[in-house]
Amino acid sequence: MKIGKLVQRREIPGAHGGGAIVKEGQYLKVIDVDGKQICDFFSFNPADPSEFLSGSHTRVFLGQTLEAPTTIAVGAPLLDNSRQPMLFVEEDSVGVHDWLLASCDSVRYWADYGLSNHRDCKTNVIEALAEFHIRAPFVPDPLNLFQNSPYNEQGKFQLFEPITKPGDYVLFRALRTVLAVGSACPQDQNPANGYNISPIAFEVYDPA
Amino acid sequence: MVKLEQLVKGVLIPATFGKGVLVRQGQLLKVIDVEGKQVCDFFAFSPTDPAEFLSPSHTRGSNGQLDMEPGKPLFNNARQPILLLEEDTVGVHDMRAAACDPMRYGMYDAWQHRSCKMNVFEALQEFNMWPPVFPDPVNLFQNSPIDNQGKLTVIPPISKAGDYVLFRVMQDIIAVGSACPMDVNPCNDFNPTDIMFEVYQASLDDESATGRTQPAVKGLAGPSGFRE
Repeated sequence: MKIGKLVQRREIPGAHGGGAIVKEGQYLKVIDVDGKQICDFFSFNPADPSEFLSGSHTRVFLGQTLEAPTTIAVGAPLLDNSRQPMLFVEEDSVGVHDWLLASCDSVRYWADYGLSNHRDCKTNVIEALAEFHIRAPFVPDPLNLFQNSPYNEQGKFQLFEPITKPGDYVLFRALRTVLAVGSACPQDQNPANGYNISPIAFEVYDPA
Repeated sequence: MVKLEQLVKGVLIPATFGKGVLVRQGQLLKVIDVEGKQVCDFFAFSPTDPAEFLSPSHTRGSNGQLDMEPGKPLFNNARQPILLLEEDTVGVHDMRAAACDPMRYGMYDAWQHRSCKMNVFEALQEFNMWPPVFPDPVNLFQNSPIDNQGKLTVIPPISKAGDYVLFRVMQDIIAVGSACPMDVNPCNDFNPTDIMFEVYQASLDDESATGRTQPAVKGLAGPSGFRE
């Protein structure tokens, strides 16, 4: 894949969130810097944050139009909640992601693990958006990049360590200008991040 | 079986249209596929805050499973249990596909077609509600298996006339249903028909009503990373 020069690199510290504007035609590389780290990933229309990347709309499109799987597929677009193409998946060095489960939030840590004051992806997204002076009407469902949470034949999910190695990545092309937001998931109460919370990097590249 | 007492309200949702009803905490909501093979795109909103709504992704995450199951709650996007699935005569529903909207029919070159998304906005107008976003639906009676290539498909529902799901309502909600107008794929077996909402008062001597609210205990997650 031939891409242009690096215009921005942003490292999102472990357990925190961050965002970057990716202009139409630019590329966004989401990198698992140290490996075994989930990035809860979101993409918004910066001019109207009620338009955002949507798994439920992409699944229907991929399943019925492109005969592609229910997660992301290299060479296929990802749609927003008005069914418009938003990002295009150019490369994926991993192939294991989740697009079915909600982000962790304070209730998850309290009810499921008895913890208060734990960082969570939902709050990370709200913090990341605040930097861009955006308050989303609600936090959409995430694309959980690098998350390894398959379900079995009975439909039961299980969280395993990600299979990612340091430097593994997904490369998107922006089909229109987006605000991409990532949270380096703070989940340390189960194997989701290998019990070691580490950073995620966003790299934005110009077209070749 | 839950013993149903007095019928509080019945709302017929005509084929291809949407309707809503206010259901109070403790009441029971029965969603009936009147003639069979008809999908009901189902939504539930907080009457005081339409940004709080039934959420498939939080339901999957909080129950640790793909599909709803009798005896387990359904959650809103604040991860609060708002419905408890009491009975289900079908067992085949979908919580993964978005509701149909004008763009979806555009894919079939049928731009003027009625859609579940517009049906929900029409239904909510009756309550003077305009949600800030349009949530993902729970597609009752929808038969959308994932095939062995991992692809989401849609085939005719297996529901027969009179099949239903029964929810116990754990927080006041505005329940909204759309009798899905999809007639250009097998989703409703190419014949959209009516859906019925019935709201019942819970029986006072109903033992299943007690002990069914979410216990105030912590540490519910098991070894899978989810509640088991």
